[in-house]
Amino acid sequence: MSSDTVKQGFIDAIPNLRAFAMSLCGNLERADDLVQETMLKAFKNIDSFEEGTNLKAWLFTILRNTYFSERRRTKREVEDADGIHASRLAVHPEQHGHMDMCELHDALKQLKDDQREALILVCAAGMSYEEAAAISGCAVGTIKSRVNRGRAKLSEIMGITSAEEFGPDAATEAILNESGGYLRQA
Amino acid sequence: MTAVKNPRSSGDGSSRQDVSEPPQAVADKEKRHMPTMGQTGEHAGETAGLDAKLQTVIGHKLKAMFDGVANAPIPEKFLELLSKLDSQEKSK
Repeated sequence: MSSDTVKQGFIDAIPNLRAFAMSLCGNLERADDLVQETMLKAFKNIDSFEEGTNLKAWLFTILRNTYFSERRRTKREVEDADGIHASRLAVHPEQHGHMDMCELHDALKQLKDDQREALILVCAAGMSYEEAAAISGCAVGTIKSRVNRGRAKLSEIMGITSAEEFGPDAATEAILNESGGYLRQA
Repeated sequence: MTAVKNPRSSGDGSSRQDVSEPPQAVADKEKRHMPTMGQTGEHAGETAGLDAKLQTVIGHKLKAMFDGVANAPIPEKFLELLSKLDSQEKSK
């Protein structure tokens, strides 16, 4: 197996792994620790990776398993005021209000683990239901259900019942003005 | 609707999935384990209810949150770690 191919695969995956970890933890420092732990585990288990299969999905799976087993061990609530700082990273303020991102992070933390994970994989990371299901270790229908429920719960937590309530910002305006709009169908 | 309980998952949504198992093997196992779910029938009712535009905007916000980190440059520490792990692997 070509080590350079795998190494490049890792490099390509790191930004998404960081984003995934950050979305789960709500804290960039912990997220980066999680990514490093994932890399260590991946290299340790590299012989079990089948070349030609989806490296990114494999890495995502290791990361989420590490995250969830850590949570089980520490039984710690996902709490973090400092996580708010992470949401300032590279998000264009004129497109998405800072308040929105903070609110979104806080609301996400209040979701059940499985719903949060499903929403992040499908809606945030843009994965297919099949890929998300493989990573989460559940059926495709379960993922769809978690996405729908998670999305509904999220808007309930944020007290938002219509798109207009998200507040004025360029990106939301663009969507509201579209007649159809892109919609991920369940 | 009776939810078919995934035999591998525990209450908090985690899974005892073996870290060394590639996702495809898991997906294949999943197909053998789970009876065919009437996906459209069972879940159709759950897609209704949330305003379509609201769904879109929420998805958009989630994606923006994710992209904020995904588009950031890779910190040096990761590349250093990778090089270290890679050279350890090569020296085996």
